[in-house]
Amino acid sequence: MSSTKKLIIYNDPNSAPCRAVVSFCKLNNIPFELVETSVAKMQVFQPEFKKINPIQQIPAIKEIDTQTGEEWTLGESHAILRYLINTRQLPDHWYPKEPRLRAKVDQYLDWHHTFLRQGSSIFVFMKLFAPKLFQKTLPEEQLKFQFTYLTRSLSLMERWLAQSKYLCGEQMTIADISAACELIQTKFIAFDLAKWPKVQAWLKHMVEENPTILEVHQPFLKFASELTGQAKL
Amino acid sequence: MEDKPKITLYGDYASQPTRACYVFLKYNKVPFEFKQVRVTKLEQYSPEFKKINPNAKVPALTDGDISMFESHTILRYLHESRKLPDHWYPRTDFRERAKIDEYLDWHHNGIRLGAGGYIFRKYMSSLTGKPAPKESINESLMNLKKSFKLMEQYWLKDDKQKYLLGNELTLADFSCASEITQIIPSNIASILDGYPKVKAWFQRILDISEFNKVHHKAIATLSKYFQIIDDQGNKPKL
Repeated sequence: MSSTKKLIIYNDPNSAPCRAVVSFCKLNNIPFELVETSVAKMQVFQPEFKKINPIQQIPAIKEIDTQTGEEWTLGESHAILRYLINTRQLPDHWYPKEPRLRAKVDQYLDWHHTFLRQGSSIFVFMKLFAPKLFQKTLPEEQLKFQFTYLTRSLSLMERWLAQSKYLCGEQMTIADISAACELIQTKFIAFDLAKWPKVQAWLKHMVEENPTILEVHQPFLKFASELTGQAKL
Repeated sequence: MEDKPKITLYGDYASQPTRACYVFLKYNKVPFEFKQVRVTKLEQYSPEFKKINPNAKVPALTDGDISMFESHTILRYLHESRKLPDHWYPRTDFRERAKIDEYLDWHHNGIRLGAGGYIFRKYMSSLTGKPAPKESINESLMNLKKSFKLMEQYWLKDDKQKYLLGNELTLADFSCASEITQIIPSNIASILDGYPKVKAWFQRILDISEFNKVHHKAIATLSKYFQIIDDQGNKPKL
């Protein structure tokens, strides 16, 4: 069925959830086309994009039936990952069918929104990108509060990684991809992961030692490195 | 027959995600035991509860020897492990399922950020000793309006549609409606009038007896508390 479907990903390489979806497709040899949709250039707020994703966020996907021309769209990176797994023949380990194992992955994916994403993408935006790109410095107190999401998230991740090689068990799941694409950004805020050694080793394994994921990250690493004058990794 | 249900739900009636799971279990007649973890008494930080949920948040669920947290995870798990009707979260129509997932993922930094954020900042933040500044209360209100507008234009755009994702209940409905409940006893209840589709849909969920029972209690309790805070706010300065 999926062989007649063309997949388009609306992507900004500086967005962690976009990098997660693109990394996942590359790791699984899922063919796709990219449409660059820049957040900084406010492209997500354009009326054409609103038709693709009314939530006006990236990533979003469009599936086009190459025979009938029928189109279907979806937003939210975790919904996209789950959908790709449900519709493509992929190894079970990414998102196990067994309800107990699946609950572990879902638990991570649901927790992610209000913890690691807050501590990573949102904090890094406030601390680094807002002042550098938009000349907007946030009050120290607000930064301090946002930072607690990062340390609290890392403590829980350290605990999970003390129990198993990956966040949700002995095999890599979509939780690891989503988390790694978030956390790699903290490299650019002079933040030392050494207090969370298991997380540090896991992140190295997930990004630096994974050629596919590392390659997807190159444009972002270059951008962040130029912005901060810091080495890429 | 087992004497005790295998499932225990830990939570607080004052917690929106707890209520979503509670109503879902009741509606589907899944036997369970409910254990109160009072967030106003910070019981979620107790060592016993942290064994069940190291993230120290309600709700959490145990089923025999496993435990989990995050309300949407709990809903998905109950649906699959108890083989509940397909309409909640379709098993073979992956596009329908994906649209439910899309809502559930948006929820956290969408409606919950607006509704939960507003109520926390306006009514609860003073309890922590750090009352939220006016600007941040307004920011939450803007987020809430933005979420209601999106619901009108996207999930509820079709006038004939009964529920968020179509004409049958899905996991999205109780989760979303639970967040809106807390707005009813607040000082901004009337903003719902500006979003007639959201209002009609919410009323439809409130008319479901399992939902109504729990949520009426929550509205009554919150109402008393919110009134005190609102009255204080309205007192003329000496």
